[in-house]
Amino acid sequence: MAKPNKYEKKNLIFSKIFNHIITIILLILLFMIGFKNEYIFLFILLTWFNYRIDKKYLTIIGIIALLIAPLLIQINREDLAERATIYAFLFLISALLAIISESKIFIPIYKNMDIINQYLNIEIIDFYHRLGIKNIPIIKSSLRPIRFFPKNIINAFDQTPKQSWPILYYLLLTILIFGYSLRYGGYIFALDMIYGPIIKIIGISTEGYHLLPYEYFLKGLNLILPSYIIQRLVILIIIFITGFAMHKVIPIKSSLAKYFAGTLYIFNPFFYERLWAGQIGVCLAYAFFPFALGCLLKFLKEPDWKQALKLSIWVTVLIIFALHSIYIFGLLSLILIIVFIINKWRDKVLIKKFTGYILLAGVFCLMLNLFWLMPVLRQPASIKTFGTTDLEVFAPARDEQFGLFFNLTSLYGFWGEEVIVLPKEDFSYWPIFTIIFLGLMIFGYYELYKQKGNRWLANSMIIVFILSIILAAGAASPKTAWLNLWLFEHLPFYEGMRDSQKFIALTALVYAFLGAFGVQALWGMIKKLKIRELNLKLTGYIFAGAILLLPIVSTHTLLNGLDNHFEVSDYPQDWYDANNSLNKDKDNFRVLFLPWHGYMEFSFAIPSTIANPAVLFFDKPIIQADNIERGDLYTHSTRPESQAIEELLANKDNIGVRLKKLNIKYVILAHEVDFENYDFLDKSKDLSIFKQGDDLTVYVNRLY
Amino acid sequence: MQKVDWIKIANSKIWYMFYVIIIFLLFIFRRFIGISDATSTWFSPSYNLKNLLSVWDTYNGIGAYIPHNFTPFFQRLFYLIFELFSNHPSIIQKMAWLTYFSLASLLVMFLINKMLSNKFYAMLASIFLFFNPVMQLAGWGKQHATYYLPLPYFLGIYFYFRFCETKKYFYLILIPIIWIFYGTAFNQPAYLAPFFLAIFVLFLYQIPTEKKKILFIWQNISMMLIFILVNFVYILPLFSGGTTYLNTIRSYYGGSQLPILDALKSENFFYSFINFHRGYGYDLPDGFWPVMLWTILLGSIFYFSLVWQIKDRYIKKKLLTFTTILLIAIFFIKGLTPPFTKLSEKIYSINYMYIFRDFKDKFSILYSIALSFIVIYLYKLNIKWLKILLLIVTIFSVITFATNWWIQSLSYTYSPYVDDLAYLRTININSDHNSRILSLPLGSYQSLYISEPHYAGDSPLKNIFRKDVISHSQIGFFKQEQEIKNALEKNNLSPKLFYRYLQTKNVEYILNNKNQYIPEDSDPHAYKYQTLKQYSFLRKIQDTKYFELYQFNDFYPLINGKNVEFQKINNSKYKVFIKNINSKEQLNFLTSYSPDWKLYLQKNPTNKWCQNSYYFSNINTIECKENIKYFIGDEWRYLKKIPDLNSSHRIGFNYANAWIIDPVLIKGNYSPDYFQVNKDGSINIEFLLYFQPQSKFIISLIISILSIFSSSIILILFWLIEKRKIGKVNGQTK
Repeated sequence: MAKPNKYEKKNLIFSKIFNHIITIILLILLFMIGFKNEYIFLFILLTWFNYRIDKKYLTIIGIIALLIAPLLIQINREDLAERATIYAFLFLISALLAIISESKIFIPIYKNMDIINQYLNIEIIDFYHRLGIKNIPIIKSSLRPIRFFPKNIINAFDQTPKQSWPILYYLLLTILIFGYSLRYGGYIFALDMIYGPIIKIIGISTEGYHLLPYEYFLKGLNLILPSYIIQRLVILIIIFITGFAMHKVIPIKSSLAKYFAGTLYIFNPFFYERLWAGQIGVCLAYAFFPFALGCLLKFLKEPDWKQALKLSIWVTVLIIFALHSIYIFGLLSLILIIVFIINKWRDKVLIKKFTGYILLAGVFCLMLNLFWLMPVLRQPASIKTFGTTDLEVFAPARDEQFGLFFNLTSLYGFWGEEVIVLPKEDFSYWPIFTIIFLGLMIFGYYELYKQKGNRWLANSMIIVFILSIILAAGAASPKTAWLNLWLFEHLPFYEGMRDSQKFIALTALVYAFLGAFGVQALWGMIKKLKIRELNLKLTGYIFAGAILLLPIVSTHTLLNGLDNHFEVSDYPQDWYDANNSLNKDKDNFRVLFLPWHGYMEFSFAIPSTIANPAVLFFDKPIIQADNIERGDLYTHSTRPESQAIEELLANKDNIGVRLKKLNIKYVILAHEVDFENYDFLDKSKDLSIFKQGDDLTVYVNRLY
Repeated sequence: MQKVDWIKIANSKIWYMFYVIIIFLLFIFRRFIGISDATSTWFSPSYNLKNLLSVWDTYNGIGAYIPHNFTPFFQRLFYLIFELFSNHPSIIQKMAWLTYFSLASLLVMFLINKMLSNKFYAMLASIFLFFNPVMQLAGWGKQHATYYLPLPYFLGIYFYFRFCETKKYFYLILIPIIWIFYGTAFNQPAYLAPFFLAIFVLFLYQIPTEKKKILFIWQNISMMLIFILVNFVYILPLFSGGTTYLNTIRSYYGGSQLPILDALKSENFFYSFINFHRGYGYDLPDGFWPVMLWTILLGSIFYFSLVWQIKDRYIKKKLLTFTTILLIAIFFIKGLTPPFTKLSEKIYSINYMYIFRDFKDKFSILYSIALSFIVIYLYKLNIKWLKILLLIVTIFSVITFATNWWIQSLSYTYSPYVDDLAYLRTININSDHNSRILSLPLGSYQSLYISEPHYAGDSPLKNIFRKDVISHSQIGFFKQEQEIKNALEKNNLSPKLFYRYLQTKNVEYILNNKNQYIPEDSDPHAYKYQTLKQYSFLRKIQDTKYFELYQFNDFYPLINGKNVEFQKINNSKYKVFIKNINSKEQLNFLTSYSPDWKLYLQKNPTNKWCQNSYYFSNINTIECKENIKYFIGDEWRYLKKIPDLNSSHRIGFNYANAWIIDPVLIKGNYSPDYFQVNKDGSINIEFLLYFQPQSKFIISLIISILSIFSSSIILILFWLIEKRKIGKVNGQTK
């Protein structure tokens, strides 16, 4: 019998370790989400899938659990008997699903035999046999993975670890970032991230039409999963995809450089600050950005109609998540395309073909985006309400010591930075990180510039870097303010870019992109130094560790739930009770939620200042404040209801009649911030108390 | 010595006989079979049959589409045969049930024999189907769940399975036709749906080519279409809206959420898993050994179907399919208990899911059917020790779950043992005009509980008296009955209120049951009978050991107004003639308000149809002798016909239907054909009072009958062709 060679042995050990790691990760996830039956069931299935345990063990565990149950009842432990029966059920279903999914019984043998063989993964079985192991812990008959997993995950479970390490690495990073906040027990609140017990579609009422596909997707998911799980899933996906996408897309050979790019793209102040503020849309767009970039690079390489379609789909996905992507991704693609055209100017045929496909991609893009463009073009009033005050209020923050531009170059500068716990506050020599990353970037530029075919790419990346910082500075610097104001007044939808620091997303992208080439070049230089082989290996490990730790240390506050900023908290019981009582009233009415603030402190939420969640929490239609109350800016709202309520708060006569005009039957007053100012509700004869609790009071409009 | 031919013995027809004897033994020792769902039916099947042809249920005061499908019709037709032999409900019931149950179980045994080709094992397997924990419900009187439904459910799954295997068009028609006879209510086929779906998916998964897959899907769709056509009569109301029984039930249960689900939250998952039923308020054999026996049986079944290496791939497939069905059944039986509570909640909160309101009993039957199919396939494996094991299990099951063994220990209050209420049948009540009987004390549900002689079950009073009886807080009447009930209990019912109540509720007789009790009340026997004496407007006409009967003379007729003459044609149709109208008048119709009651003005008004009339002097109304007709032939006209004076339809006397008749409006808007002008300027008019959904019912009934007729012919043709084919093949082989 042929002995396994060194590589095969190593591979086997790796695959075993890999399986164990996956199990440990699953166990951690199970612990954090809570030992609920559904998740235990999933855990059993995935573990079966991971180790390919013979399904007969699953069945036998189920049968034993079932047989124990009546004995437990006999000794008056009905609770344990119940638990045992539930496990019996879960194990039996898992076994049945396992049999149906893997067993040959349900595979028509005469159909697509080659495809099945491909899945059977015969080599592994052969390999075990060659090792002399006869009782293979994996199943002998057939190995047919379920096809609804993506290919990479299939590979991960198919014990080919090399391709799967990135998945594992970014999964680990994700869990490290999430930390204890992943656990079961309520919702995670952040400034703009609020979730209620059910997912609601608010894209229409808030005129964010581009969000609708995303919202409907979550709503569909909500049919099977509770919203607190959906919230965690969304955050998990954001963090995982951010790193993984960068890793996959970057056109570089060195895997260390890829890991570096992925890590840096997650661990940077821009991503940290946006995640801190709970700007899920921006973060999602940021996460999927590299995929769109990859698609664009492919398109530039081999333009055809398929790539054009793919590109337009990616652009649409980005726009669905955040409307600002039009300008952010637009700037990137514009510069790449212009530089590419200049570079290839002499090849007239290519340019001609290329221009045609660019136009085609534009048409595709337009068609795909009609679903939100149509309603927005019909009523452009909302976005025009932003004024120059916005520019000042949402201008990027400057560093007290190093000024605006250095702050932006270091990827800081979020307008609400003063309340955030920043990584730079922990380490007074923080500019050193900026300098290192800048150095790596320049090094990378040089490395890329050396490759003749990619010279244009290096140039365009540097241009993107500079332009993004200039545009991000916006109204904060007198040098760039005029440009910002001009764009603001002349470009359609540019009003949405009032928060100009969003351009820094591009800066982060360039850091990661060019930085990776820098790392590759640096390692090449180290290798050229005359180091002995053993030492070279050691140096390699140290270098890799250092290079991956660098971004993590520079934005260490991202770890452990953004340094405990992501906390699990739930709405008070009074809210749930009030919602139930309101639902019992079958009339068609609306409910006014007070205090009248769009953003305020809620005592139950950690952190306390969040967007008003009433509209998402209560099932009945809610009228709540949509003001901003930041600096000189009070509100953008043109909603007649808001104006009517603001008038009512100024002049408190005839409350009942005026509320009735707005079809308001109930008024909820949450006992938060300045609720004492609303004592006129108690005094009014038109209102009577419908329900009173520690956390809120519900009034009913007598004149309704 | 001659060798015993065991195979011949096992295949002997004597086992059919033996099987029927076992079933007879189970029933024969009982005085009366327990029934709670429809006790009243037995008291006069013939009366019930007639009532089925009208959509308006005068008893419950609702448009009751649902009970009016074919099944109860055939069911009662079946009872009627036995009414020919006896007038005694107990005997009718016993004969009918024994006949039905033995026929049904013989049919099951016959079909199982077709699968096993061995009558002895077929007998064992069919015993297994009828003797299992679900049969415990029989003791409580769940006749649908225990005796009646196992057969149709078995047939449904058996033939659908046959269809999936053979893909013959014959079954496409057979399955819908079976369900005409067996869908005891509109929701019965729905219980099979999850299982049909599971079988469908598993079979679809195994079909090799796309083309055949599409054909299979198409066959299933056409079966659905045939099903819809054949069962049109009770599918139409499901989707046509209107104020039907469905909507009433829906609003009664508060939208789609079922109150029964709340009750199930505390149910134990272990007992759901092994299909033992608890929490019905009576004793069941859920001691250690029955539970252990059943658990071990289930464990071994799972072992055999999931773990055991079976070489026969065909049987392995079947075992897996039915194990899947078994697990699905467990999922449904468990209600809202964990695991997968959220998923169950989501499923049951879907709008139309309220049709599964008895899901626990019904899915339990499917559970036992899935189990017996597994047993059949285990027999098919032909392994000696396995057969012996199954034989032992079957014997134990019969001993443990035969209801006779433990029926004696049922608690008295809910016991379905009933004596004949013969004393009530001797009461002679004048029935030449429409009026109601108020039966006291008022219960909270449509059941009657009497201590001596013992009776517990569905109230049979309406079948005994052939008049509408108000005996509980019905869906339609709810509020007022509750008030009367409370006031009578406290003995503070004011004469004025009581008088008004009796008058506007069309109550002529008050039956005061001395021996009745209300088990739901905190003190079941709280009601005292002395209270009625104090009301001077009541006249006592009979007083016995068991009851008092009072008469009230000032009641309003069913339809009343000034100068009104009316005649009942059936429960959904009345003729009304009003004469000498010179100003606005109110026309009252004393049944629960429903917007579907419509008035249609008639051309050339006349009251010639009014003969042998009964005059109500208190309100100047004449009730003419009823002329009962169910099919007149003009029903289709009322499908789209616009009703007259509909805008004046309102609620009268807080519960009933009322219309305002305005002569000026009639004169102004209608041609002179529609009214007669008298000398004093007043007018005479004639109306047809019609419950409009009746027309939909008649039309859908015709569609259904035509579809049944034509599909039956096709079915017979298919069968003949098949027979001929087999004959040809046999001829060739010979």
